[in-house]
Amino acid sequence: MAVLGLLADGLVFSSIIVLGSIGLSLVYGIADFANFAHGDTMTVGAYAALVTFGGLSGVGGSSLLGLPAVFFVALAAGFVVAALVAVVTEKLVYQPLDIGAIGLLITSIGVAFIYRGLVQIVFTAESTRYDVRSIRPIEALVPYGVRVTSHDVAIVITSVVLVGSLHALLQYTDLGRKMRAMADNPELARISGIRTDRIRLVTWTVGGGLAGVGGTFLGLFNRLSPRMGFNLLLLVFAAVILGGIGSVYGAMLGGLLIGVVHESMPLLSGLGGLLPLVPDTLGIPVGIEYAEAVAFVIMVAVLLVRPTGIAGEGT
Amino acid sequence: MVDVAGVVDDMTTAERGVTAVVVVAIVVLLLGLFSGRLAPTYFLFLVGLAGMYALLSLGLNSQWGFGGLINFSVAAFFGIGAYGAALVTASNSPVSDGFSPVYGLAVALGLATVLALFIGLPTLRLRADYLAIASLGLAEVVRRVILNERHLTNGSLGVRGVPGFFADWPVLSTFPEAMPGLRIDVPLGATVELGAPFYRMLLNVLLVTVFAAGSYLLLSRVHRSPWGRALRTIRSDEDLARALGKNTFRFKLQAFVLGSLVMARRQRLQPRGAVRRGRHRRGPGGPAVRPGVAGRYSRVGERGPRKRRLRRAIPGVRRLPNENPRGHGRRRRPSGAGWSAHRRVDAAPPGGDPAAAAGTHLVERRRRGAGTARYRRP
Repeated sequence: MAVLGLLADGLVFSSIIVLGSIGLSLVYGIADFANFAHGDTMTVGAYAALVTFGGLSGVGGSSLLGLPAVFFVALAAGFVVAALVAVVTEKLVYQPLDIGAIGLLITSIGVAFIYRGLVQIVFTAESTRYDVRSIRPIEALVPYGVRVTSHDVAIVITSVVLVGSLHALLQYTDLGRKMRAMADNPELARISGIRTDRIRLVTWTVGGGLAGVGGTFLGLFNRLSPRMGFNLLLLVFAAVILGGIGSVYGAMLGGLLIGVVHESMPLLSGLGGLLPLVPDTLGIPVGIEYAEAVAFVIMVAVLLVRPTGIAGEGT
Repeated sequence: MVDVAGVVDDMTTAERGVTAVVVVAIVVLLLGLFSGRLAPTYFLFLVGLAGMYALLSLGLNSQWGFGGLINFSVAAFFGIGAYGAALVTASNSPVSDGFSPVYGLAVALGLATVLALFIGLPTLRLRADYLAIASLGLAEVVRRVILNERHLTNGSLGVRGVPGFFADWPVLSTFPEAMPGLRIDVPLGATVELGAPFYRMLLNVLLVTVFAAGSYLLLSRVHRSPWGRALRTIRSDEDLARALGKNTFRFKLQAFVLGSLVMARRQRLQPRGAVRRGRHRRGPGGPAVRPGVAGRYSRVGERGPRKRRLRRAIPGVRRLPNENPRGHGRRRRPSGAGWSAHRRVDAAPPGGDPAAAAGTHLVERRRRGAGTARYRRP
């Protein structure tokens, strides 16, 4: 079954997009602008993990899901560094500016170029990869047409854990309640005594950190290159818009859908054979090289038909 | 004699800054040229490049400045212009070759119109920041198509052998070779030689200058025309324009197509005669966008818009007591900033009750409706 395999690939890719889109959506909700530097925050996280992983390579330790234990330390480093970069940028650049949503959007493009330029200066424009042995797909799943490695499983599990923790944070803690209140209505939140500045920093931390983890996984999934984050950014935007801007749960759902659509492009040409009630010859002749294009078209369609996204509140 | 002091006096601070930077840059370039550190051919190349960016900025200005449309697909129009011209004229074009570059220009403009309709029709109804993202996405689609449809565009190999624009013109085609080589002792030292490459580049620069100047004149004429007036009204208050019976979407679309055409005119630009996908790959929001911003979007040849003067005249409009400094009351029309500020003055006088100001904010937020969706309550 090719379908199962593609869905599995989609799930892995989705996990990365979800990690990126949550941060983007959080920031869109609270700071109220489309942060084009988010993709490059992912890149920064990935390279921070690369450095940490390289520095700790001598340290032994057990391995987990085909990954050495130090890799998870590197992952944490990716989280911390990306969060730090995001917070510092917010403090230094975005906060002092008073230029409206569009001005901030353009500023963030400039910030993205700065991140990318710095990464490129230090690590050159060549792509690179983590020093992790590449492994074979899990044997037990191959008969089903699912070819995922245990690295992919690690990506999915970590993402699920992170997303679950975020859910718990938002729903069951005081901080999360404040964050939701703030996203809902900053003025009201402030009047009711919430320290909105602090909450904003927490939001940037969480958003940037998740982006860093997403970037690290993107580097594990493909390779690392200075453009990796920016190339993914539009897909992440598509996910955020599909889910409804500002909605964390929408971003999760949107990321899942966009990731699966992106990876299951080969199915489109043989669509008739998969769906009941339509002739077998039916198919949409779109090559896999247009996977991202399809995602963008979905994004524009969602913007036109339902700008609030699937999980957003109706107007 | 131009009244320099008066002109400077008339400028806003931002305009003064930009002008100062431009003047300094020109002085540095001229110094480089006269001291022999900058080869004349390269100097002309830089000037030509500046002219191309000027064209791009003019195009973006007619979209963003006139109509308030934030177009992030500048690079796509640049690319389609270059490809449209190159595919018709180049010697290794997979589609056709040998046509006169003049036809190339026509094809480029035609393609740009089609692309502008393709991108504009679905997206122009969107709010400002959505429009930016959506047009960026569609521009990416264009890039993918150019990259992957190898039988049409040669994919990532690019198109080579694009003839010069004047290749089949009577005198100009042989002009660079016919001109005598010159050796000039420049004032500050070195000796420079001017040969065929220099004259070829000179022709290109002239062409770009003519295009840029022509576009500028056309656009400033358009800006003053009734059509431009209607567009400016739409920009400051779309509802008002609609109430006056204008079809705002249509005007916006026209502005979009117009701007795209100006951008596509940039096609005759590849100084080395090769169109490579990579050249416009620098991508969205790249250099093409920034000149438009730095040039303080909004006008071609019209100084100090009334609106801004007005805004400066009313004390306290820039920032009201409780107005959120981060732009949380997201302005619906990005470039109608002055307008919304006025409105807010009506609602909450400067120094007024902060709670009241917050209250108007709430109303504003609710009225904005779409796109303010936030976290769902559990």
